[in-house]
Amino acid sequence: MELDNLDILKNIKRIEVSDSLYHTIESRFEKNRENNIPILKVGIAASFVIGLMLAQFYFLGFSSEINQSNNEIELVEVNNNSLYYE
Amino acid sequence: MTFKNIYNQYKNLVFNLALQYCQNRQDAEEITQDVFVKIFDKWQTFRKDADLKTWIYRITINQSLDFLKYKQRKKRSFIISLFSSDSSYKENRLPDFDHPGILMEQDESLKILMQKIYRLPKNQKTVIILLKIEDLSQREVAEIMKLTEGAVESLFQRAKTSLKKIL
Repeated sequence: MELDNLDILKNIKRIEVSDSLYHTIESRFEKNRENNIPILKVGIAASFVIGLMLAQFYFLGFSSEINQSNNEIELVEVNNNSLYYE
Repeated sequence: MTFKNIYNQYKNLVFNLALQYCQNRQDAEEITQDVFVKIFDKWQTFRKDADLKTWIYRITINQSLDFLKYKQRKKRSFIISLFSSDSSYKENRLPDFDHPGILMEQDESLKILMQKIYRLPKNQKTVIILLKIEDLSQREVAEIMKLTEGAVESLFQRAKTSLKKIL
């Protein structure tokens, strides 16, 4: 066989694609669509949950500050040893 | 341009190009499916000023080469399975030569030549397929392969030498 003469390759017949192939591709698209996770919806839900958690931390921190300030009541210094109502 | 239009315009180009790489109708159909799914997925990233045909050629070539790599891996695992007791591996037997465009010709020398091309390194194989089977010009091949025309010519000469060496 003469390998320099690669023109023999031009004799290869072109083949038509079967009609069913388009439907196979379409069904693959459908399958991909079903398996796709709606990233936008998941993102919105996740940011809502994170927002709620941050709000909770903020308000919990704020209320504990109030409690702490309530505990810091100045004690009145009593200079005698008598009890009350004595 | 709708997806259906692109499909109708390029389906035969994609299928026949894939067929030259894998030399099997069933595999070529699988590659064609993968190529059009990829075209659909990547349509947003395609620069509209670029040449659609060149882009489709590139996707098909890459997909075909990936498929051959995957097939080689399967073949290796099959060979390993021959030495193992696990019979489930034996179901991975690869399909035989089934290129309808060559079988129709009933030309044994053409079949032998195609089987030799199959064994070439991927760049040399691509050059032969694009220049000699797809009948593209050297400039078009250079654009598809992102090479200079000189590099394409040198690859082609190397491919011819490699073909002579393959017994």
